Amino acid sequence: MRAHTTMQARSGDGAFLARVNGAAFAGVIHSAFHRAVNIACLCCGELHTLVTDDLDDGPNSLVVSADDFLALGICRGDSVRAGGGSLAIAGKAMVNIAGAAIWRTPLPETHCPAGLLRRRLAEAEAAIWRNGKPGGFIEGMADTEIARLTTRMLHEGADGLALALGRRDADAALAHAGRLLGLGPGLTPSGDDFLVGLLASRALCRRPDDLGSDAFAHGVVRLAKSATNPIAYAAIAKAARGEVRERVARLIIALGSAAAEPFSPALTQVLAIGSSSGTEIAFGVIRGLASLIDNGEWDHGYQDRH
Amino acid sequence: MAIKTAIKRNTYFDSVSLMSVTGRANAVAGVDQAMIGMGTAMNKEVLQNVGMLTPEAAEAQSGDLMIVVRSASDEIAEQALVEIDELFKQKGGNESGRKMNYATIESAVAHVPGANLAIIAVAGEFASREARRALESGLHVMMFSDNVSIEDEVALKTLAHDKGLLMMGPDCGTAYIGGVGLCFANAVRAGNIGIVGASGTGSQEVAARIHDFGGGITQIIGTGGRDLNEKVGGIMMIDGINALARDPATEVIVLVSKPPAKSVQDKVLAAAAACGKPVVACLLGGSEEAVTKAGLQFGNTTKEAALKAVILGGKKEAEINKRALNLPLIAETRAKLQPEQRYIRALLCGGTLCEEMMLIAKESYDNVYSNIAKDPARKLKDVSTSIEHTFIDFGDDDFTRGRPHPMIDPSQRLARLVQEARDPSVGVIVLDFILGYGAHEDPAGVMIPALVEAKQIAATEGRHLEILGYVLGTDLDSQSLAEQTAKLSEVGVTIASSCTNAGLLARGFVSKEN
Repeated sequence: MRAHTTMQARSGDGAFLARVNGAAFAGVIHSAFHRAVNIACLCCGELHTLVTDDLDDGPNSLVVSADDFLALGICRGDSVRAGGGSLAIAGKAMVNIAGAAIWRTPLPETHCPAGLLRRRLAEAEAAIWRNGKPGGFIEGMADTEIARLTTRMLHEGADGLALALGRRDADAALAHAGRLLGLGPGLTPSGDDFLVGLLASRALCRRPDDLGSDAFAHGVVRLAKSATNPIAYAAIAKAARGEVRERVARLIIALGSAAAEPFSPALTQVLAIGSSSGTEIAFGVIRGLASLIDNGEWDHGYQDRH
Repeated sequence: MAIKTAIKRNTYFDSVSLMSVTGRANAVAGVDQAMIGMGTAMNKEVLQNVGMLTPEAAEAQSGDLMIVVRSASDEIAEQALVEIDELFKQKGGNESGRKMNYATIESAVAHVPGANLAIIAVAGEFASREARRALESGLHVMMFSDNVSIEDEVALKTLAHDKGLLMMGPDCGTAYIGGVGLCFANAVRAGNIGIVGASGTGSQEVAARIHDFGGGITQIIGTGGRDLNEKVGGIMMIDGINALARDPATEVIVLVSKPPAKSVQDKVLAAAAACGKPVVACLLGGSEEAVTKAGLQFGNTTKEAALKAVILGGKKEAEINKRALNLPLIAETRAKLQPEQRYIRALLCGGTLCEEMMLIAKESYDNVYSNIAKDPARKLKDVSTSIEHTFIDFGDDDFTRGRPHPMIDPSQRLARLVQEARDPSVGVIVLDFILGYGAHEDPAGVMIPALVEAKQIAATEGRHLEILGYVLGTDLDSQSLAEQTAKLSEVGVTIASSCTNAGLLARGFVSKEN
């Protein structure tokens, strides 16, 4: 029998680690890439992810010491089972979670005044246009009718959504979000990435007693189930609950914090995600935070999250 | 305008790969525009709005990958889909991830019901046993391993023949089956020409030239270099011909080998003549008379064989860029060389490339030496020292015992290049750079410092040293043919457009006749 490869989990989502520790996780590989594998949980159906240690923590994820999952022979359909403090993948690999640092989405501790946030958002948006990658919201990857139309539809959807959220028109906002779901190139279509940024920023910065009560966010998740693929859906569903990749959370916190730290390092980290995914997410973050100023929630949102 | 669609069900490639392939798909010649995206309702709406929503795309689900191409003709659109598919294969990606590891062939067969071919690449002493297991399991075999006895080879090929299977090898390094390159092979356009080759780089060269002339390939069936030996009797060459004769996509067949033993040649040519399809036989150094007498076309060189095959395949000769020899370049280079710079030194990775260039040199010169020469008088006694016109096959056992093939490890060639540059009698050094599956990811790049050093050595001594490079590859190869040739040109390497032209240019450069 071929010896499996043992990998060490460096850190991981607290809930996922707890399930592995308690031998309460079994799944099947949904999709495998060089630097990430998605595991569909047989109990809840949610996607859980292993990522190589050059990537960051995220919801339902473990960061493991690996270079390339495909090189280990991991492929779609492989069974995954937790037991004895580790995760076994079809006799090909074992992920040992002992000593892995527990990660949870970082939360904003302070809110800056709305005027400062608005200035930061304007600076950040200019920086995204300067340094972002073409593909969805930024034209230039291919000079085709399809690319131009897609970009135009993305901007129309995003603009309409921002306006509707600003005036607290949940129905209109949902209609515009529906026009963004599944729209654009990439594994996670550009419109989905935008919504991840928007939903996460709104969820992380709204008053704690509003968490989970956002009808708009619930509506988007409901629509996304059939409007996009399972990988994009998983990210949207988590973002709607304020659970998002470490570097996206850090950008949201940097933009909204009362501290005087510059946001540009966090923005650079987000723009580096995927092909143009980071660019679309960053645009979503900007619009999500702006919507909270526009609808008056920002000035009432400060809570000590300790 | 023609619109063609391919749907990859439940297939996920990472965004970087998808964006990269989208960009390259839109750059395919003749493509008006292409969409590669997930089959979501909104992406389908985009297609609808630009008039590209086909019934197949309309049926796609959000987890499916849609590839929709619009171009001037059906043919271009179909071809673009083939090229896009090739790009995805190069990306490796996650098309349900097919990399699996099994301890035994029987286990692999049990777990992969659709598998029909095994590649055997284990030490020679174990290779026959594994190949037999594969054949007994109903798999075609490609045996990369060498050091297999000729008795075992005959037994395996006989078994395969009786079972209606292919036994490619031992020592078979190149095949292209069902659109997939195996071991060392180039990414080529799909077409109507099939190749049966007893030499790996010979098959690669003919396939690359066919691609360059605008033709395309159905299959490349390798036989292993010893198949045309009298003891083996060309079992695989004949089975290969018959397999291509039965393949409806193959309309023209090309045979590539060194000259076989007479009795074997007669059998092979008879089988080719009886196969019912036009056949071009490229038997390097072989008899044209025997081939034409059998009613087949003779390819005197790999380039000529490819050209004839493409024309037989339906391409109009007037539309083909035949890459004519650059005669003014020969005169120009001759003028730069000093009278004592009389010799060619060819340092090659490809055995057949070495063989063909050597044959071309021998047409003009008697004093041609090689580590692979059949004539004992012309075989190098010491492979580390060149004599007059010397052609080295770095892929031969002399250089590969216990070491990787030079297509993967260039270190021995690097040292030899500098050594040859110090010899004032050398007029031209010829190098090949082989691209494609299995080859080095940057074969030109790793040679650049040594090329610069070689040029500097000659310049310091007041000599012009001509370095002639041939890049065996296609514009579909992952290493980028254009980038590889550009790197070489930037450091003063003259680029030949084919192995045949490289041989002719090298011969011409050092000729002292007016």
